[in-house]
Amino acid sequence: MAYHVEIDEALVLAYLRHPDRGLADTDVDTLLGFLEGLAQTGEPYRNDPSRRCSPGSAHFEVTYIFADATGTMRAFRFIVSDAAAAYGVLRVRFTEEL
Amino acid sequence: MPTATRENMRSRLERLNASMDAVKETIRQPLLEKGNAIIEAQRGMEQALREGLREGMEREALLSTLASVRSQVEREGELFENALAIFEGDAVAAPAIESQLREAKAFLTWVRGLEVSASAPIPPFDESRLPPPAPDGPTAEGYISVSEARTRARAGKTS
Repeated sequence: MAYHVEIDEALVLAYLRHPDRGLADTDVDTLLGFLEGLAQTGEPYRNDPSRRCSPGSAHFEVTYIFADATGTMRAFRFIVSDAAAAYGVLRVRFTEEL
Repeated sequence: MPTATRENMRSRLERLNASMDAVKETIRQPLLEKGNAIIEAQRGMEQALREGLREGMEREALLSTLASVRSQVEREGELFENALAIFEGDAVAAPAIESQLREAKAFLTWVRGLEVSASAPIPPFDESRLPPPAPDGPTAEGYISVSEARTRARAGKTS
């Protein structure tokens, strides 16, 4: 099943684009590209109990690792809610760099 | 030991050495060529891995990939070490194999470093950090589609 993926504009997008992150525009695009891909790849993550933040939680997490524009390895944890999965929507509620 | 026996043993030893030298002579060039082919394949793997890292990967998928690559490169290093043992002291083969082994070891060190970095333990996420409640409707205030976010980010807009 393909999902519609949404992100929290104030918490997630703002975090990624904050100057303190030191992410180039291409890096932000890479991260958003990964999140966009959850439309297709989200189902296995949803079905993996080890990814649930707690048993029965509406949230699961995925960690994305990439080499940024400077070649530095960066890892970002994303917390995704599938509370609206019945409507075909996944919502990225939170992110932080690890 | 009787002289005849000693002479027979010496002769057998010479034939053994000659046979081994003949084998080494036969396999030297093909082994070096195959070694170069392995190094070329390794360079291709390294390039693919670097490209994959630029594109990024989900952590578990990355760890699985790195484990497979590490295992293969470890076997590659063993192969070069065994070849080096066979051609130890060979003025032509030994330096070439040493160079191949060095390149394999350098790649292995890089892959192991990536693996250590990517496998660092991640503390469990504390859900109390999330603003309640989790929106469960078809639309939710404050959320935008990722494709819209990408468009905005590419356009350099803040909202």
